[in-house]
Amino acid sequence: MSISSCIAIRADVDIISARQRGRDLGVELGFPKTDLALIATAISELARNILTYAGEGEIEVAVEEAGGRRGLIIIARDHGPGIADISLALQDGYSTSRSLGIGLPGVRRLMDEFEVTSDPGSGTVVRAMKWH
Amino acid sequence: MSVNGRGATAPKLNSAELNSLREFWDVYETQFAEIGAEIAQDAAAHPELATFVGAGDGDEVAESRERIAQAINDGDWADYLADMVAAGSRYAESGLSFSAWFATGRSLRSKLVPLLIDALSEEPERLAEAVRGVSIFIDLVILAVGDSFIDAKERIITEQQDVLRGLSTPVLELRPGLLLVPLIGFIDSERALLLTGNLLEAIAAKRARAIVLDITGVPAVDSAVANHLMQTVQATQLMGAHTLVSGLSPENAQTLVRLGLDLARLNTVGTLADGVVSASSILKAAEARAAEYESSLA
Amino acid sequence: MAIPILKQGSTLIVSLQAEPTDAEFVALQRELTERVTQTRAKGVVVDVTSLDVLDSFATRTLREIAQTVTLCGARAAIVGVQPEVAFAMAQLGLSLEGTLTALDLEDGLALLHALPQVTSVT
Repeated sequence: MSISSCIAIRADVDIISARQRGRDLGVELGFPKTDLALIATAISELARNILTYAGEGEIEVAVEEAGGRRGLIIIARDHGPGIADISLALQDGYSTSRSLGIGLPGVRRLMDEFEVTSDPGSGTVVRAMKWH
Repeated sequence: MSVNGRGATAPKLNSAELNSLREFWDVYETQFAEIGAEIAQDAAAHPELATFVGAGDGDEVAESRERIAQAINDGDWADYLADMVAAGSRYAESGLSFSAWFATGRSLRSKLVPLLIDALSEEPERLAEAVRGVSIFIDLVILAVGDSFIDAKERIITEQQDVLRGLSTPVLELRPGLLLVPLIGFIDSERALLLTGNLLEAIAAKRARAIVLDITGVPAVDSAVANHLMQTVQATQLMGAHTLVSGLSPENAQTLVRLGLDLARLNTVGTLADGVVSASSILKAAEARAAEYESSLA
Repeated sequence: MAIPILKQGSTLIVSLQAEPTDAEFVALQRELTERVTQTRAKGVVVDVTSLDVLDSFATRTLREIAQTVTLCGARAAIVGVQPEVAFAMAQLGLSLEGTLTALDLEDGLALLHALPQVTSVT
């Protein structure tokens, strides 16, 4: 069974909607408040990245079940310019612009599983998972 | 045969092995319930096993026999191996020792061989096959149960380690508003994270304004550890608390400085006692401020 | 919706209740700067007790608010960061370094009250 929610990210107000939805789902799954804060903050940063680098995109939050455990998955998608060098982007301290967002390494630290797929020209997909 | 984490895969047996198993099973099947009852009786005398090995009721015996037949005759090991894996897990979780359950295997072997001799004494070749079959069978069972047992034990140990880690980062309230955290042992990123989380919760719960993080008991203080500690110090600052790090040896301090670390961001003080003195004055200053502010409102 | 700014003595108090949007944060920054100048306030306390998240934008803006307020001749304190919020910030490497912080509103007011009076830069 999978409950999923998809939030369009087009303006800064959407950042709050996305993280609220993520938090609500986290509460349903019974995450402790520390994890809820991590999840909400991760969504916030991913949504910001979408706005900053692609202008628009979407954030999906859903329940995942595997091996008897339940987790919350966040999928951030955009059709922006993409990341030319993912390994570079994942290095701590790297940032292409002085603008908002703390970069992918930070989000990775917040979550249990983290995966970035990106091709210049076809957009970026970030998948991040937090297990209960 | 290969056995992996959560289950066991069916054994790959050649025709000779399969034949041995069938010879063995042909005889064993006829005495299955009886042997089971004998094993249960033996187990009842063993202090550890008494609760685990029972004769089982008629249905359980029939089901067990059915599953072995399914495995040996039809080559479908799924159900039987699943039972063995479940048993291994159960034994581990209830604290049964390896030697105890291993003894049941020995017990089974000791009962089966005479049984086979009785049944096949006139046919030495079939007897030889069947005895080999006993070995093959018992090895399969021990492997399946054993692997599952070990997996479960490892899971339990990891869980216990987590609990221990939680216990090993105690946050002590020396006086209202002053927390002491005596760190002992190696600090890795996971432990540092746990420490930070606990400390922040404690600051909120105890309304703490001054913290002494004592690292006298931390054997290896390299730049990684120093960075972890700096992050912890910074995090507590977000909640308006001052954290001092005490117990950094002069040698370690020198090394860190040489590595280019800004020790000022670690708020180092000398010994634990020095730390407590400094923290106390920080606390006093805060209390004085609060009192001053209170009176100004009056 | 505008975020309410209260005045207590010579200190302005902002209690953020709901999660402010980026636009609201920016508006708050502007509003606070104006009010500090208008009222000649000596202190500003921003209370984030109700916030569940302080992300990179929020953290940056709070630091900027503190800096701007200081330029206007006052001092600012951020108070009420919740433990799980501080934890997330620590993992992300976000800090309010250079900004005064306190556990709660009471402590924040006491902290600012104890600072030597800063003369306005006009």
